[in-house]
Amino acid sequence: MRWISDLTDKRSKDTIGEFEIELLLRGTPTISEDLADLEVFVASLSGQGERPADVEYMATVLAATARASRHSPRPALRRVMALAASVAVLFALSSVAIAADGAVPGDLLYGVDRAMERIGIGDGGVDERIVEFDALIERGQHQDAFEMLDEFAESAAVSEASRAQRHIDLAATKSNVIAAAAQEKVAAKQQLIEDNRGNDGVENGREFGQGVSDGAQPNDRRGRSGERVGNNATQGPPENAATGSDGTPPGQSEDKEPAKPDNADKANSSQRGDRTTGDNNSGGNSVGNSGAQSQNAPTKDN
Amino acid sequence: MSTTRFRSTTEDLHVTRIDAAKDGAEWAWESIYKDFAGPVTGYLRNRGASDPDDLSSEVFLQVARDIHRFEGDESNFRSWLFVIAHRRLVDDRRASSRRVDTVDEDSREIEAEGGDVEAEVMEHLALTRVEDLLETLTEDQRNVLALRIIGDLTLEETADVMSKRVGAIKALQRRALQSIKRQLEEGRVAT
Repeated sequence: MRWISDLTDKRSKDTIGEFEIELLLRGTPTISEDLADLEVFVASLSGQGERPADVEYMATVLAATARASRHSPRPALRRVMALAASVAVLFALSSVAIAADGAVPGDLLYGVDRAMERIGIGDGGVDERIVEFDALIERGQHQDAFEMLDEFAESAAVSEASRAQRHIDLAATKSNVIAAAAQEKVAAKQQLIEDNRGNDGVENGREFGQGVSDGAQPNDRRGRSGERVGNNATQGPPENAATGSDGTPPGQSEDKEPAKPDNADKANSSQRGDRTTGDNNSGGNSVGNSGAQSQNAPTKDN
Repeated sequence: MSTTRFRSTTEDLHVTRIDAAKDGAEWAWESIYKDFAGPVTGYLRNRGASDPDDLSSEVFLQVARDIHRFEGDESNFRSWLFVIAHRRLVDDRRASSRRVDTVDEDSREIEAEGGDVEAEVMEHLALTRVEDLLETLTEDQRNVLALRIIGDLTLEETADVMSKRVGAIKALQRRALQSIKRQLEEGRVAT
């Protein structure tokens, strides 16, 4: 190795072989006479590496310094601790975010949901708003639902806003249809009641009037018993209506007690009965009243 | 073969020394300081530190403060030590270049007048010979020679300190030595 580089050295005086350079720099004497001057130079340079003074004193100071700075945890441990802490924080945040993400207005976490969306976490955009909207509709908070989606449509991007608007329109139409259907249903029910009450009401009223006038005739105590009948009558008609709708023939009592005299009372009560069929809802009461009145009429007569 | 085994044994020993130094053992610091204070101070002086001894102490104090952050073997430790020394040196030279501007010309002359003039001149000439030669080199070439000769670093350690590849360091040191050699020959011819 060495004599090879010596050969190359001889070829060009200026070139120093790699091996010679290593020897020179390490302060090992080379055999080459050419490098004698360079050896002296290197030696005087390396002589600048001086013997240190105060070694013991410096050792004490340095050891104390090392001990003092040892108290902070080792870098590896500190890194692990920092990592664990940030993972814990991330986990807590994400679980809150996940829990909050499904929140709808009025929920405890809804504020968190919106806050996180504002910084771009769990922002479902218009889709999420629509889900919330539907959830609110289902809960029956129609006004909240429409307000929420309206508000969103105002601030959202054009495409999202138009989707939100379409959903609002759709929901509104749907609810109109539902409302219309509900109205129809209510109307149909009322019609049914009206129809039933229309027949029953007259009969009931007549029957009632007769019942009362029957009770009124026999003796003086009938006043009180008549009152009692009157009271019963207030509850009576709905029962009758119910039996009527069940299909039970209402004319039973009429058959039992066919023609009771006192035409005036009869006419009166039947008149009342007609009127009661006129207004459906308060039918029961008016029948009761008519009963009370028709009861009063005979006592007056007596 | 035998040298490799010897080297690996000393490295094992050195790792122990560094571990002990982390624990604040005085014997470890004494050993480290004895081995490296000379090269570090010499390197700092050669590279133009304003107060090499003072700067060297600062370097070692920083090493003691930061040794817990150090991970590696003896060779890494030498590189790390000189990286710190080099950074300190750069800071020091920047600061002293500002200081020089404020130094009074007269005070410098007075300082130079005192003492045994003849002996100082002779010593000065020997020193200036080496320094003049170094002056003709580039900054990187000077740095490589200082780290390798005064700092006693290996090729790889020097590459580490200077953040260069080993090939680049080889080229730098060869060019530096050839340039010095040429000048020495020319000088001899001249005298």
